[in-house]
Amino acid sequence: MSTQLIQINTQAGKPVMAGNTKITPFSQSVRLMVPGKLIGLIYNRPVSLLATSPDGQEQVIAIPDVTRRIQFSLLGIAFAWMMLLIALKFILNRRD
Amino acid sequence: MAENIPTESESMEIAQGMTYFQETMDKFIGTADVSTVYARPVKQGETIIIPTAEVICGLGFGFGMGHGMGPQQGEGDKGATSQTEDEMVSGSGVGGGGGGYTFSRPVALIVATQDEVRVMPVIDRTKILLAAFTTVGFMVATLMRFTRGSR
Repeated sequence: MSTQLIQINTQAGKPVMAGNTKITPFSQSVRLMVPGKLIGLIYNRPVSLLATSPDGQEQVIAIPDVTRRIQFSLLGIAFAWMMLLIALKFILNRRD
Repeated sequence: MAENIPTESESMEIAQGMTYFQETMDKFIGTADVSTVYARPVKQGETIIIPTAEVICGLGFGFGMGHGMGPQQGEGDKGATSQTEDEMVSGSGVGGGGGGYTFSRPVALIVATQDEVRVMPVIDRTKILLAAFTTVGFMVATLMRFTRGSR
C-alpha cells in the first residue's frame, strides 16, 4: 500500500475494437490515503478515448462531464454575484 | 502490575482483523481501476455502446483493544482495594469497525460505429435544477440583504 497522501494517476484501459477502429479508454483517479491509517477516498472518472484507425491515424476524443461543468458554472455565477455586491457596497460606502 | 500485552488469542484476533481490513482496503483500491469507470461494451448490431461513469468511494476502519484488572465475581463487596493483585481477575477485549460509501454517476455514452466514434454526454437534469435553484436562492437572499443594508 502506498504511503503518499494524494496520488493522481491516468490509466489506459483494455482496447475495444469497433469495426476496424481500436478504442482505448483512459481514466484518471485521485487517491487520498492517510498514511498509517486505514482511511481512504478514491475519485475515478473517465477522461478521454484514443481512437486508432487501421491506417494508423490517431484521434483523441475527450469525455466531457456536462453536468459537472454546469454545476461549476452556476457556482461561478453565484461567486461572481457575491463579489459584485461586495464591490457595489464598497463603492456606495465610499461615496457616503 | 500486569502489563497491557495482548495474549496469543488476542494477537490472533488482531491479525485476522488486520487481514480482513487489508483485503477490504485492496478491494477499495481496486476502485481506482479503469474497469470501474468504463462498463462492458454493449453490441447492438454494428454499433458498440460503452457507458461511462464517475465513481467516488470512501472507506475508513478503526480498531482498539483494552486490558484491565478487577475484583473476582461475587467478591465485589470486599472492594477492589482490599484484594491483592493475585486475587484479582484480568480481562481484555478487542474490537473494530469500519464504514464506507460508494457513489457512481453516469457521465457519458461512447457510441462507436464502423465510420465514427461519438461521445454522448449524460445530463443529470435533477442535479442541474437543484444547483440552479440553490444559486437563484443564494442570489436573491444576498440581494435582499444588500438592499436592506444599504437603506
